[in-house]
Amino acid sequence: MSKTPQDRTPEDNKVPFWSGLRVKAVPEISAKTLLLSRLIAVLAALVLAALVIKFSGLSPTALGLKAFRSTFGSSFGLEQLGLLLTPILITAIAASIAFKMGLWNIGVEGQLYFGALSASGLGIFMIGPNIPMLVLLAVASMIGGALWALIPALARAYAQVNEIISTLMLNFVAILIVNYLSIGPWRDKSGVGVMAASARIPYVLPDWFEALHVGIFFGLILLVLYGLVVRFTQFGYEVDLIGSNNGIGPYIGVNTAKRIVAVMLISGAIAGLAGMIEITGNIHRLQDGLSNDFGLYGIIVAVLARGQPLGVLIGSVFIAFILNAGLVLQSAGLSVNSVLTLTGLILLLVTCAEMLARYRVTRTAT
Amino acid sequence: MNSVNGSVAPKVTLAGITKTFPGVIANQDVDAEFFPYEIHALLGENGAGKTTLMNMLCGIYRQDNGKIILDDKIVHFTEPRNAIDSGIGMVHQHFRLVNAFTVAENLHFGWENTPKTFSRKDLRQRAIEVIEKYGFDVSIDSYVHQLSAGEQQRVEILKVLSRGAKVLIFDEPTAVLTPNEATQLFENLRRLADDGHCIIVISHKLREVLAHTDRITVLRCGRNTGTDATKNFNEQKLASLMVGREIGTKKFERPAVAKSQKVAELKSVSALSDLGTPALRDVNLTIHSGEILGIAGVAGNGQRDLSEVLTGIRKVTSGEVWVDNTNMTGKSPSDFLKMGLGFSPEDRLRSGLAASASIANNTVVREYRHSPIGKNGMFSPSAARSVTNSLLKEANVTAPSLNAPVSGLSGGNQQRLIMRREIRIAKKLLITVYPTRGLDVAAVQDIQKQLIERRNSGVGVILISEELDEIFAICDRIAVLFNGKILGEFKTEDCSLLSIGHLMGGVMDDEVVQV
Repeated sequence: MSKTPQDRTPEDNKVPFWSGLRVKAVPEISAKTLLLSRLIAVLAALVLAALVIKFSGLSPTALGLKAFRSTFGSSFGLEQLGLLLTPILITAIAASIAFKMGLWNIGVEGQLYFGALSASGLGIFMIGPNIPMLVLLAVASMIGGALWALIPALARAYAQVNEIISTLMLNFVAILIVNYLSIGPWRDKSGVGVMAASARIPYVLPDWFEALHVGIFFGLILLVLYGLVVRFTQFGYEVDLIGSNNGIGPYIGVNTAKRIVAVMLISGAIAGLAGMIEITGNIHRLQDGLSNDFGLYGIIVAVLARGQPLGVLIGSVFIAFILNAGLVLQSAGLSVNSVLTLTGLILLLVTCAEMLARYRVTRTAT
Repeated sequence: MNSVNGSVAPKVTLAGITKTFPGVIANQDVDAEFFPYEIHALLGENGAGKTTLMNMLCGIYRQDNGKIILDDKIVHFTEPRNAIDSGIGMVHQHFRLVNAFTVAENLHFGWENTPKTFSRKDLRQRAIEVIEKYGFDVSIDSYVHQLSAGEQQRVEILKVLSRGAKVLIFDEPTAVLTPNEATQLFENLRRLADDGHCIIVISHKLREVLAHTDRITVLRCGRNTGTDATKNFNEQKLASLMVGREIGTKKFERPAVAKSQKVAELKSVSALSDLGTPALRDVNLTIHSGEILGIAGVAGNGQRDLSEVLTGIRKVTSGEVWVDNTNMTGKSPSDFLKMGLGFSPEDRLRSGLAASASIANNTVVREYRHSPIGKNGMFSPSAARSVTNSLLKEANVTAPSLNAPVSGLSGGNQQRLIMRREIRIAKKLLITVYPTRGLDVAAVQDIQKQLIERRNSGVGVILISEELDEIFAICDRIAVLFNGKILGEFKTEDCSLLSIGHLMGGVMDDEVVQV
């Protein structure tokens, strides 16, 4: 039976030995501390990774060097990095703009798929010169991505439906529709192509290097645009204010519901464009698994970067490197599951560091 | 009534308490003793460290240096739970209630003897007992979000009382109460003190503190500048200890403004509250240029709805809203803004500021669309910073960094920032709701002076307030809002505190108004 405060004995108030130790939330942490905590997290993850590799019977140092060299040591490696970087960067921008407004658009993956679908539909069934067609496909993909964000946007804006759930669920729907079309009505009937994919889309993004298409520039341009809009436009300013306090919209004369819809549509359109770039630059067919969870990685980047453009770039490069290193390790004989575990581990630790950096253990004076 | 004498040992002793936050000394070497059987006031300006000091006593903060002694024993509170278990309870200024729960449910958080199984009926029964015991008027089955600020505070007080606290700390308890309710509260506090409780009241209202407490401790800049029996203090002495200079109770000059014209008018306006219940009923009001119209009334009688109707935020269900001879009925808030209208709302953190956005971004809320900050949809951060700097200077607010979140400013400084921001754009009409709530003497006078200056320059000012002293000090006309209705409109010189007080309680010509 518990005691009321009145009949508590002095013994109940005895000081335990850990009483001086306190975990304290730090209200503001410097960029330096944050960076340091992330570096420690990456190091810790690498040590864990080395252990996993060791126990798989391989040499961690040799494999580590190999992973690093094959990413940064050759132009082929760099191109591979660029290919992975492009969709992650663009989806990270898409997620960032929504997060700025306090909207958790977990649906960038689905919007990427629907953008890819819209571009592919046009690409398969319409004939025209390459460049104008590419522009058309890009526009179509952005409209497609925006459309896929429309329902969650309206539901959130006018019926207060949580967008996390709705956007997340629609990811699966988009992936299944793409799956259905690519092996169903739009499948490759020529007999030459891959079985489980749509017909080849003839419009191709120009290459920059041998394997790397110019899509990376779209990403970089979008990143600069994002930074400028957030910092130097009234739109960006209002998004920052409303993102911080949803109730302030009417007070500053901005229709919050309309702004929620607008930001979600922009976010969806950017994610959709990533889908078109993957299709025309990399895969050239609509197929299941056309995105390697790029949208989800984009969300992680956006969370870690907290809306900072430079952070978005660094985070995207980091994750692209991990993914590329994973491919290398796989080719060196490490099982797919080990590789996925490692990737997950690193991301988990970095995210943990982000949280832990905000707390201090202190022993207070008694 | 002073029960303190030499034979009673202090209930709580603070010895050399120091607390610093990054860049700020909140408390330095504070010594204080709080006795059972007494009501002890902790008096000081905004940011003087009153609340921080009490937060340490409640286990919310931990002091950097110094001792807290409870009943002759040094105590170490590592979390609020410890303080509550030791019989220390705090009624916070910002309510700690769960909006989606009923009053009965809220009363039972932290209930020590919660049975393993209990029904809604048990909760209600216990709530009824608690409410009857302390004589508070709250409707048990209402959800907290349906209650006015005043009612919510009553629930808070009941919650602490129901936990059997022996030391009760009240942070600005009368800020949201009517004069009658405040008197009633202090009667209750006196009863509790006579039962042997130790009552600590954080306040900056000199008159209230002088009238209702036994001893007073004054804090300035985190230091104890004086403790003595209340009877040895007077207003001037307290004020000088608080602000470090003698300030008299000010009388404002209100020169007649020639040829005033209508700046805003409500014609038979009715509106619904957020819950869809009638909030305003057939309200007729006219505001002229160069006058201050005071709207007196107890919180929760339609004040917020009235201010929102006047700014286009809340739509009217019938009637017309006119601003500057333009029919604005049904227009959007941004159209209202274009009419030259400033608005400082009731709840600054919920509707006047974006708490986690930067100080600079919050300061330019009213001017970002105009040169030099905004042009053709663009936004200049450097212009925003310079506007912020000059506005903060006008508002007498010092900020550590313009990029820091505005939530880091003290409540008083937030309000000063908002008032200055709104005054700058109020060319025709300025609407302020409880503008001086929770502020200290210097800030109150500062803001009242600014309202008068606006009036003298030909702006129509609407002051929605519960402080009758304030309304009588600066308003030209007074209207009373009760249950969404205007019960009467007077020239200030034609009415008395008593008659307005009666109307605020719904009593008209000795008859209770039927609603």
